[in-house]
Amino acid sequence: MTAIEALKKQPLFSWISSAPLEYLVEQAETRSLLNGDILYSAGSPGDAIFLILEGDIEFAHSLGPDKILNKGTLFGECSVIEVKNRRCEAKAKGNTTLLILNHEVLYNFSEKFPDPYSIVVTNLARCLASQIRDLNEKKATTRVEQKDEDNSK
Amino acid sequence: MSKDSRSPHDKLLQNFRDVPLFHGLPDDALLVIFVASEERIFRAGEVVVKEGAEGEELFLIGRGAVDVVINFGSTKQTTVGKLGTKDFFGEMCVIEPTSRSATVFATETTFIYSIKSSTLNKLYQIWPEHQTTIMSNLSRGLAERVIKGDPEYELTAY
Repeated sequence: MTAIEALKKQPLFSWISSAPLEYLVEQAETRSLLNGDILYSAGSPGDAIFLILEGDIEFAHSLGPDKILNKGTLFGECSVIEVKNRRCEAKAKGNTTLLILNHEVLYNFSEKFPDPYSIVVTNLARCLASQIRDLNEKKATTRVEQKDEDNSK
Repeated sequence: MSKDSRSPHDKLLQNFRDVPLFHGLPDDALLVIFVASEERIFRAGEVVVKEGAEGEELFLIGRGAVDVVINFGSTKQTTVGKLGTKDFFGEMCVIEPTSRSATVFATETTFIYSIKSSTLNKLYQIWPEHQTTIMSNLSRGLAERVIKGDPEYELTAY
């Protein structure tokens, strides 16, 4: 799968026509990492969107087991709206290739293609709103199961 | 005591300037939204929106507090959020037509501004660039809520 095909599959880039996507891919950095190579460290500014073209990325953190994202997954999407320091280190698990849309690329994209950029930001809002719905439903289901469990005791 | 020299118009607009959803918008855009909005007062216990109902308005809490609940009024009722002054809800309708995913009711006397999605669409027709500003602000607020419910999301979101 080409980088542009992988980008087209992302909800963040839904409804974006080919020309702006081609521009993004042309401007993006493609970076290859070997197993264990560090992509970024905790505390570094989160100023880029990453799309995993090959391999996996591992996030070591204190909230639970290490989180692993696989080929075809996009992350760093909130850097479109604000730059926050990253909470943990990210490193390659196996040989990994990423497409990187850094802050400068995103800024230039917003200047050159304001309407598609606005769609990207709207897509981000749509994705986040959908996550909130899922979280709320999960919370409600867990509460009901907990109540049922308490009642059966 | 120092006298507030601001005009009544300026004082009213200040309510909207302070809302994170509208940060970065100039006063003329805020005025369009303000004039088209409707201010309503809800007493404690009154329902603002009902789960499953069709929605075409975004709500801003001018002052007060609300609970966001799923399965309202049933034995399965679950509170999934609490919102207060300057928070917003009903945001999905400004992104795409959809039914309300939860019931929201006032937990104290609450002043709420309702803003129709058509008002925002008209605003975008006049000033297309403001769509990006509002959607960025909206996403920022939503990202905070997602992280609150799922702290692991922050690990990969930035």
